[in-house]
Amino acid sequence: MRILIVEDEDHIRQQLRTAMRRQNYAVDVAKDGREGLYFATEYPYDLAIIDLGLPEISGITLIKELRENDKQFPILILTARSDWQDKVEGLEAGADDYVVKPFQMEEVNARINALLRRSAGSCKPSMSFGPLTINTTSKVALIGNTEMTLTSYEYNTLEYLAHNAGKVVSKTELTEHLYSQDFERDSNVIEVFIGRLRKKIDPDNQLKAIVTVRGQGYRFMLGASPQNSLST
Amino acid sequence: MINTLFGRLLVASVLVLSLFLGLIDYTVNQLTLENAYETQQEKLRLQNHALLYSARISNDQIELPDDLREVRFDEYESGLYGFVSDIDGSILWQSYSAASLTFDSSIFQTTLNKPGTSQYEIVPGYFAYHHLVSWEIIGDIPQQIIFTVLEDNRPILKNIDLLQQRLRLWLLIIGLLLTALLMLILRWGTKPLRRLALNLKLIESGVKNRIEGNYPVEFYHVTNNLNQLIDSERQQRERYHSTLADLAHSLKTPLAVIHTELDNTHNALISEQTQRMDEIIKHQLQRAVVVSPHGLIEAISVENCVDRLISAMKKVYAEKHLAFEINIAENAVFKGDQRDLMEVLGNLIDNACKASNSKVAVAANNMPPGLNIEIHDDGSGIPISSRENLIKRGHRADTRYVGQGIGLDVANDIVESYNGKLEIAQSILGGALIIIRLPQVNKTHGQ
Repeated sequence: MRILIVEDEDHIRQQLRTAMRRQNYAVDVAKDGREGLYFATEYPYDLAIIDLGLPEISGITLIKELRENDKQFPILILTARSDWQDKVEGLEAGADDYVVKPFQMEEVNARINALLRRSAGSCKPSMSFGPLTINTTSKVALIGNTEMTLTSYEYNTLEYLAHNAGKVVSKTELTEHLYSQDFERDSNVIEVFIGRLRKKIDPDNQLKAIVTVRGQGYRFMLGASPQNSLST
Repeated sequence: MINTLFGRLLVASVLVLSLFLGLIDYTVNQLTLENAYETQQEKLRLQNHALLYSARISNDQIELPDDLREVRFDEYESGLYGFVSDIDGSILWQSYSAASLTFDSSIFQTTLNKPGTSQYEIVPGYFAYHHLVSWEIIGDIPQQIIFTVLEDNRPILKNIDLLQQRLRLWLLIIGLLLTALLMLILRWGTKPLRRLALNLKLIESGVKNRIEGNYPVEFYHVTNNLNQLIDSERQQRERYHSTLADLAHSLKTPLAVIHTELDNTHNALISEQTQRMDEIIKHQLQRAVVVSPHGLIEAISVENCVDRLISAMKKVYAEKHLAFEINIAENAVFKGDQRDLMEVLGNLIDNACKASNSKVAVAANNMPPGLNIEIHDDGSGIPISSRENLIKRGHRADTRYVGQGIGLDVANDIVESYNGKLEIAQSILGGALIIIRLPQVNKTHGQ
C-alpha cells in the first residue's frame, strides 16, 4: 500500500513517515499543498494523510482539487484546529476521516487501517478467502490456522491483490503501490514476490490463488470477492 | 394600534382635524346667526320706520292707511305684524295680518324711555323691533307711543338650521376625505420605517444578514451604522476565530511532535501532562471566542447544522453502520455564532455516535421559552450519580480527570455562555439523552 503524507511541519512529517514505514507502507511525503497536489496527481496512492493548515495550497483546497480530478483514494485529515466547523469543512471537501493534533500514532494507524478496509469494500479487519485469512490490522496472513511467514513486501503484494480480488493487476500497478517515489524499482522483483507467495500459499499448486494473465498481469482467484469474517 | 408609529400619527392627526373642523363649524354657525340677526334687525327697522311714516293723527287717534307699502302687513297671518301701543303696552293699532292672533302682552313691554330710541330683541317665536316716539295726539301734550314690528322667526331659524346641517355634512365629507388623504400620506411617510422594521425582523429570523434597500436621507446614517455594526461584529468574530485557530495551530504542532516522540519513549507522566496541556488549550480557546447573544446576530438553522454534522458522522463512523433519526422543526434556529452551534452539536453528536450501538436521534424545536435540542443514543447511558459532576457549573478543564472526554464540558460551557442549560437524562432509546435548552434572545424592537 502506498501512502502520501502532506504535512508542512518537518518533525511531524518525519514522525509520520517513520511510523508508516514501520507499518510496511510505501510512503511519499510532501511539505506543502502544491507539492502534495503534484504527487497525488502523478502517482497512484492508496491513501493520503493531509494536514489542513498547509502553505501554498490549503489542505481543504488540495482535497477539493483531488476529488475534482477524480482521485478516489481515502483521505485522512490532520488538524490542529479541533473545532467541528473545520472538521466538517474538511470532511465536506472530500476527506474521509480526521485526526486532531496532537495525536497518538496508534490512533493514526487505526484510522488508516479502517479507511483502507473501507476503500476495499470491507468493514472488518479480517478478510477470508477459502483457507486463506488476511488480518489487515496485525498484517498477518494465515493458511488454515497456520501463520504464513511473509516479508513486508510479500505481505503488501498479497494484501493489494486480495483487495483487488478477481481483477487483473499489472506489474506496473503493483510496483506503483508497493514502492515509494524515491525507491529504485525493478519490475523483476514483482515476479519474485509472486513466485514466493504462490509457494507459501499453495505449495502443491492446487488452489491456484494467483494466476498470470499473459501480457497483462496477475489475478487473485481465491473467491470472486472478499468474504468478510466476523473474527478480528 | 396606538403602539405603532403609524397609529399614533393617525390618531393625533384625526383628533387635530376633528378639532379644526369643529371650530370651523362653530365659527360659521355663529357668523351665520349674527348675520341673519343683523339683516333681520335692519329689515325690521325699515318696516318699523315705514309704519311710522305712514301714521297719521285723526280724531285724536293714531291711524294708518289700509294699504300700507308693505303688503305683508295686510295679508292674513303673513308672519309680519305691525303694532302701535302706548308706553303701558296697550295696543292702539295693529295690522290686518295680526288680526286673528293673540300676542303675549309682555312682548310689548320695553325698556325704552327716550323718544327716538329703538330696541331689537328676539322673543319667543319672533324678532321684535320697537321704536319709541313722542307724539301730540290729544291736545298739545306729547304722548309716548311705541311702534313695534314683529316677524315670525321660525322660517328664518329653519333656514339657518338647514344651512347648518348642510355645512356639517360637507365638513364631515371633507373630514373623511382629509382622513383618507392623511392615511395615505402617513403610510407613504412611514414606509421606510416599516421597511426598516421588516429588515430587522428578517435579520433576526436569519433570512438576511444586513439591511438592504434605499432609505430617505434621514435614515441613511441609521441603516448604514447598523450594517457597519453587524459587519464589524461578524468580522471581529472571524478575526478572533482566525487568530485563535492560528494560536492553536502554533501551540498544538509542537505538542504533536512531543506527543509522538513520547509514544516511542513510553514516558507516561509527560504523556499525561501534554495531554492535559492540549485539553486546556482547546478548552480555554473555545471559551475565548463565545459571542454575546443579541437580536441582530444572524439566526442559524439548526437543521442545516445537524445535516452537515450527520453527513460528517456517517463518514467518520461508517464502520458502525449507525442509523440516524433527525426530527428538526423548521422554526428551530440558533441566535448566535454558527461555530458555537457546530461545536456544541458536533461534540454531543460525536459522543452519541461513540456511545451508541446502532441508533442516534436528534430532535429540535423552538417553543417558549426558547430553543430545545435533544440528542439520543442507544448506548449504555450515563449513570445518574455521574450526571451532575459532568455538567457542574464552573467545572474547570484543568481540574478534570485525565482521559475524560472534554466534548461534553466544552458543549456545556458554550451553552452556559448563551444563558442556556444542558441536562443529562435517560433516552427512550435506552442510552443517554442530552437536552439543550437555550432561551430566546431579547428582541431589539417590539413585535
